[in-house]
Amino acid sequence: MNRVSEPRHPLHEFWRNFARSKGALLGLAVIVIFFIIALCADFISPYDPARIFPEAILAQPSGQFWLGTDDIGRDLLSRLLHGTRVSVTLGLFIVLTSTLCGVAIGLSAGYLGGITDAVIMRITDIVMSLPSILLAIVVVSILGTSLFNTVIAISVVSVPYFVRLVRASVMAEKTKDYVTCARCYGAGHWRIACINILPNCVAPITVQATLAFSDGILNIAALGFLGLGAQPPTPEWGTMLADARPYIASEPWLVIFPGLCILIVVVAFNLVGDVLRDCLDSKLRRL
Amino acid sequence: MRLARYLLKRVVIFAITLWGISLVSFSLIRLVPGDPVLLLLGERQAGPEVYARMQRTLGLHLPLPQQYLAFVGNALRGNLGDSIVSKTSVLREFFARFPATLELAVMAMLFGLVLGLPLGVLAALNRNGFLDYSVMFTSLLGYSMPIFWWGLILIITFSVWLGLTPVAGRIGMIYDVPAVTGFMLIDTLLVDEERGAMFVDALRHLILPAMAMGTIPLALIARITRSSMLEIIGEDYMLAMRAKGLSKFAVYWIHGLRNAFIPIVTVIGLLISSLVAGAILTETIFSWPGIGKWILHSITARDYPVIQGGILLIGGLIVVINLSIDVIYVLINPRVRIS
Repeated sequence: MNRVSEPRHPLHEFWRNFARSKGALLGLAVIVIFFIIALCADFISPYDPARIFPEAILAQPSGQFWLGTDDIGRDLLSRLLHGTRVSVTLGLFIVLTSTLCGVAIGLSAGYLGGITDAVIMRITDIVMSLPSILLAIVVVSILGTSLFNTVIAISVVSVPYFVRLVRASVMAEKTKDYVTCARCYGAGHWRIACINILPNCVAPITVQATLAFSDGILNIAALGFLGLGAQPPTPEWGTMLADARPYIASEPWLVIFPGLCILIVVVAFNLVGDVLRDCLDSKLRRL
Repeated sequence: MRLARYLLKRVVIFAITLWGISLVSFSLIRLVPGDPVLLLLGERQAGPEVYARMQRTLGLHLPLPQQYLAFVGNALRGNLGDSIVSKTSVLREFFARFPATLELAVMAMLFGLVLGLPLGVLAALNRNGFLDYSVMFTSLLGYSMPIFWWGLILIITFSVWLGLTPVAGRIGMIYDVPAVTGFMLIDTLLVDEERGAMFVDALRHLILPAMAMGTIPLALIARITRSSMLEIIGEDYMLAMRAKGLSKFAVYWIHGLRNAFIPIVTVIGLLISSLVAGAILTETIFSWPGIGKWILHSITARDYPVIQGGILLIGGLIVVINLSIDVIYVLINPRVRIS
């Protein structure tokens, strides 16, 4: 007699689907390396990122300076490695704040419905109709140029995407039988919203958080490049790019490497985000 | 009737959004911590009459609700105030620069469509093949691209190494093109002498920025075309057309692509706002005298009337374009009209 094997744990099932994609594994590996570099930047970079070598200004890549030095004689590789730390910290902060705010607002809109929903949705319409980078620039210009304000600005502009997404999935979940059942058992609104409904919306939130990380890194770099983000001594990739612009013809590596770092990290996050979406969205899942 | 109701709903939402944008642009200058008038006058020890004049210029001398009514009233009459830096009307400044951005955006969109559509169809027709993976990978690179870096890389490759294109601006210094329409490609053709050379020069100036700005649209268009085509290819009517004896080309590239176009229009609508973001970065890199560079400059210069008016105009423009795309969407998609 055949015994029906026990179903796999959902997380195991998820990992099997995820690992089926080589691209996703590669992306995940890059992200892990990126986080490790951010943690160990002090130990693995050859020099202090702020140390100036006056005898080696704009040095070409060599044995001593693997990726060369910048216009005031700082080692490019060390600065790039430390830049990872800036991007990771800020990226995490942006994702955390925008997810928390977005979930709280989206959950209220989707669960309460009616006038609350209408008002919240119109506000997100308005915020989303303006390009996020423009809004971020404006917010920074109001609050003043500092790294903290940049992060606030980028978090603010990424909130509406979470709000829309959470609202849509909450509205889909709200009509399901288990919610009616919970209500019959006498569960209060808080319990239904936060304990019954919210866990079922985790999948799309995870996907959006991954994509918000890559968007966040891009936006930080863009604002840094425009001179409205991290200020010069901070080794931030976008700011480094802006500083390197005058040397575009003579020392192209100063331009090439910081951008390449941004691109690689953003590609890794998007790759993982895309595959996550395919795995977690049951409609699209390959059976 | 359904259609009318749908359109009415879109128009109402449009009006609310527009009102919201007016509130946002109105609040910005008032949200600045401290006194914006003192901030603008800066270190200079300004007398009370200078202070009062600046306050009046910014429209900050009235109570808040009155300020807002005045702002909206003036805006409806086409008066967005004067720039503090150049002393000219904000509206005039906007329209002097708008054609440059529009020309760039149209070329960027064309670049995205001309390459993105065929790449998407090819990928769909070779599903899971080498071509499909290459297109998908390129598309991933494209929409992950920090375009401010990509622009610099294009300059390094095409201008510095290959020496093919100019680095910045809209046209060579040696040419003097009178602004008739504001679109350099058209204006150069209206000049009497050296028409061809000028046109080619303008085009050479346009290529790199358009490529930089068109990369993200290209990537997204290729992606959505592919997935939309994949859905269409499986439909019975595609098989029926093949059975009827239509060539593969006619079935896929004409009938298929036409039916795949609906989601593509939606994506193009979504791209409008990202094009404006792209314009800010691209125009900064290529010294392109358009809206993006203008608004960025006004922010660094704290030119509040320009920031206020610029946000209102850009936001309004995006909302208008999105409304028209909604309407186009209904017109090209009979299914929305019926159901």
